[in-house]
Amino acid sequence: MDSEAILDELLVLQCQQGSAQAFAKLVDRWQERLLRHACRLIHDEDAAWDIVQETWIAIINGLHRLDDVAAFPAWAFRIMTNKCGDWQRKQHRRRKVRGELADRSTHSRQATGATQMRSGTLKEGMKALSPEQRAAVALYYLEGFSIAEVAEIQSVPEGTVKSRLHHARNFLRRYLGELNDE
Amino acid sequence: MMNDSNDELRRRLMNDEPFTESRSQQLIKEMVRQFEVKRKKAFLLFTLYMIICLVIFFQGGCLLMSLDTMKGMLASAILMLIGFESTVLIKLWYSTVDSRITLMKEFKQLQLFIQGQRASDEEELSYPVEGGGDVGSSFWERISLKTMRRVCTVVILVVGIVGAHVFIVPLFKPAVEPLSRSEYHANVGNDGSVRVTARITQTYHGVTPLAAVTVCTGDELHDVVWREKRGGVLSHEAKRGKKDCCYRIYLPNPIFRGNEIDLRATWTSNELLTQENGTWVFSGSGPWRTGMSIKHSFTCYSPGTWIGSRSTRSTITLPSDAQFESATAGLRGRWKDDSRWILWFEDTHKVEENQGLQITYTMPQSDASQGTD
Repeated sequence: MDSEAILDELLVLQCQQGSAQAFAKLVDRWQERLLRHACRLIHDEDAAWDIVQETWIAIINGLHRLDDVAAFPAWAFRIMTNKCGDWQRKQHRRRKVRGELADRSTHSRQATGATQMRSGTLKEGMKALSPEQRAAVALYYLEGFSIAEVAEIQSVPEGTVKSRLHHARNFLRRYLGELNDE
Repeated sequence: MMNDSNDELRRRLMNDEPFTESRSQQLIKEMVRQFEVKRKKAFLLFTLYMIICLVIFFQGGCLLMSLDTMKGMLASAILMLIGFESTVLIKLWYSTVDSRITLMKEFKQLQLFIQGQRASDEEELSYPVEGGGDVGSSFWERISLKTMRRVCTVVILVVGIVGAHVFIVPLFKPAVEPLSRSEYHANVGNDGSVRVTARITQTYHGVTPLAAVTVCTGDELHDVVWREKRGGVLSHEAKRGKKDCCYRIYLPNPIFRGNEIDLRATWTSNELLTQENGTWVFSGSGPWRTGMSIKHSFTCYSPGTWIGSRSTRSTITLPSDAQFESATAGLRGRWKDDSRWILWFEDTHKVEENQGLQITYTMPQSDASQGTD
């Protein structure tokens, strides 16, 4: 276990004892990672700030119930992922009400992504992934969570995470390959 | 091959742009404020819970003192227990959780220290490890935690002391008010023995139900009659106690606070009469008026330990043909019934005065000689 993880656990324990200073430190250490994850999932920085704030409020309310302090990162990211899911569903409903919503199934999204990938960057390739695949890729590759932790964060079996990563990887590999070809 | 691909994917995805620092600081401040609000709310909730528990405890105690039914008293006792135990339990729960967290914190600090030793680069740790204690907590935060613990301890102590004073001390105080009525009838026989019939009627004011009483007669008990409020005779079991001439009377159904005690006991005594120069002296102190006591495990009360004043009516029937000579103060009247003098005493006095009564009489010469023989 690295010292950063131990430090996080120590901070969580101090927060559970009511230390505001430790909480400030914890927010300072984790908010950027949470924010980046939110941005990756919803592609809206302003909304991501709001979601991060909501996530921290949820963390404040539930921190005393967290028995395993080592699970704090996965727990925080799970809250964040759920909040992002809620936000996406809300946006989906809004667009539906406005009549602006086009039929965007996973296949059509990937197909669209495939057409765009020639001119786009890898980040745009990420955008072309389904939200679940995008979250799995971000958590596994960028946040360094294990398959089991990603499965816990996304509340799905490990097999599903592996499948999502596999499809996302294939898609992005093709995307990277095509970029290299160009 | 797979790992290379993963690393390449990771490397390309990593190049994120930084976020606005000022907004980040604002968010931290706002979150810390929210954290403080939550902490204060938790503290208020805890205090409120404590107050509710104390109210339940005292309410239960008051009900226990006022109710006179077994069910009601049991319910009150349960209420008291819930109130008291809840305050104790919340304190226990708090200290258990706090100890667990403190222990885990120390463990993590040790882990950090070992990590630092291994890396032999302790400067890399941005967080102070040495020193232990509440690293990261301000002085005032630590003080407030300690104060909270001390306040909880003091509150529990105060509750315990007040509770004991209010509810336990009365158990050891006299449980009855001054006698509403006590009667003593002594029938003096020609052979120098005195048959005493004592009756105590009073309202029971004890906290705990009265299931058994001890009657100390000073001599062998002949009969005990225990009457209920309506006059019916209650069944009971009398067992000889450890002390001489003390008997334990067990009742099948206990007597509750506010109920009437109506006890009549009959015994014979050979110690009340003395003869001096042909004159018989009846001494009415000692076993005569204080020899009968009623006590149970928590409360002991007898005519001799009364606080306040009491009214006592006594009649002494002298032997047939006895010539009454004198009596101490308190004689209200005397009359003859079948050639026997009946003396009537009635007085109200402080218990500790322990007024005795003394009667002198003479017997016809032949009877007196028989008595002395």
